[in-house]
Amino acid sequence: MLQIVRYSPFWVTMALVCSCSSEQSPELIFEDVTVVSETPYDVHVGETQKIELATIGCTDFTVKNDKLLVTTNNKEGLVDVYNWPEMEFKGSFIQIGNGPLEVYNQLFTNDFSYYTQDDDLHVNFYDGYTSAIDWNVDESVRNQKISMVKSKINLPVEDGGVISYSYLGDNDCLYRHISDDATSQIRVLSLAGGESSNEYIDHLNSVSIPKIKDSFLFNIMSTYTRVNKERNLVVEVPLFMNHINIYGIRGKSFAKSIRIGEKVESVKKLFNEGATGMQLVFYDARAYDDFFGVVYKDKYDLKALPVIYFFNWDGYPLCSVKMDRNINFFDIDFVHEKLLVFDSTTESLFACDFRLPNN
Amino acid sequence: MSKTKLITAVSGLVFSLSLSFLVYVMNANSKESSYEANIDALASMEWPWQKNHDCYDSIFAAPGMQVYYCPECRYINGCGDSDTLNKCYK
Repeated sequence: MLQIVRYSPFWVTMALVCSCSSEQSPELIFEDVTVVSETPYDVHVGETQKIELATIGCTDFTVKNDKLLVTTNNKEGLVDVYNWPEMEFKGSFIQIGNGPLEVYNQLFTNDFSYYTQDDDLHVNFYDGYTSAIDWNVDESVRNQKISMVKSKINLPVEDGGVISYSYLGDNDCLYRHISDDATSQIRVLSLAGGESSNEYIDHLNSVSIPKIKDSFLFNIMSTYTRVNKERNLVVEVPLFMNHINIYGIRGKSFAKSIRIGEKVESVKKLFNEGATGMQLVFYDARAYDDFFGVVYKDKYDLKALPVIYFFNWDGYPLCSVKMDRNINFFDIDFVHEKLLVFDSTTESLFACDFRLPNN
Repeated sequence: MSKTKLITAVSGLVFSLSLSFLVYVMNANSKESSYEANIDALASMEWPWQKNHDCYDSIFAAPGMQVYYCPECRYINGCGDSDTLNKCYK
């Protein structure tokens, strides 16, 4: 008995350790998980060059081919186009309104789907009503008149509840809408006009929050959705959770999750914390032919600066770029080997030399 | 190993497992009750679901998110301004 009393601190400690080890399992995640604690290369930003923007009220940007697109909060011209890298202003395009080929919402260039046809840059995006719009950027600049057509893709969702839209070419797309009771986000793979799904999409669609009278908390499950059409892969980067999901579509068999950091976030835990617990973890996601990148910030470290992580499409980390300033958005100019970063709070755009290691 | 030491070890193990189970149950109950209390609090808001929404009179731009916007009675891209949470009778 004396020995039990003597060793009691040890047993109590053991008991507490055992009882604390139980952890709620995350829901919006696949079985195959890669945990990222370090990356093969840590890149530090070198000398940066400030890019002067004539646009006022910039919200984000994208560089594609020889064009730099900047979204603004100007309702008469939601997207400003510049020649890149000369930065000559080429015009403001797309208006908010109820008229034909006008859009309902403010736009973000990182939500656009881009493709090049006959050397012209095209942008495909959701108009905020029930359709997708195809915009020929180069033709609009050449003619100084907007060149847009309504796509044949219809998004039959009432009340504007399409929260994400990605163009897959032809008349195919992947979109996501909010369920009628606002408890889940439903992904729909629309192929040749017919709706389709797969086991990965069904799994992600099955995740929900409890039914409450709320019109915002479903955003706990919101993600930046980016598509690699050639690889038939989708990457979903949650805004408020520290993992990334990659999954196959159109017959591609692949599903993997990537987790950054030690603590696992779950939908249930975030829901329990409510709207005040919704702190951004990922700020941006961009997909490229051979890899994708995300802007990550440790929400538990208030002094932490953002880090851009790059992963290949198999879900393995390629490198991380530690920022020396706050940024929300980034993009890569592969021709001039530049990394461009943007801080929407100061509306500052910077560029620095960049080449992905071993790429 | 002497008999006394064996009894001590077994007793300690039983004690530790019992304490562990007790802490786990208390922890789970506490989490569950606060979770359910949270849902109850949100669910007890007075306007019925589906016919009406809670909505926001003003919003600010935020990529990747949507919110129910009062003036239009529909979802719109962005984040709700919590100071303007309102009822939207559709």
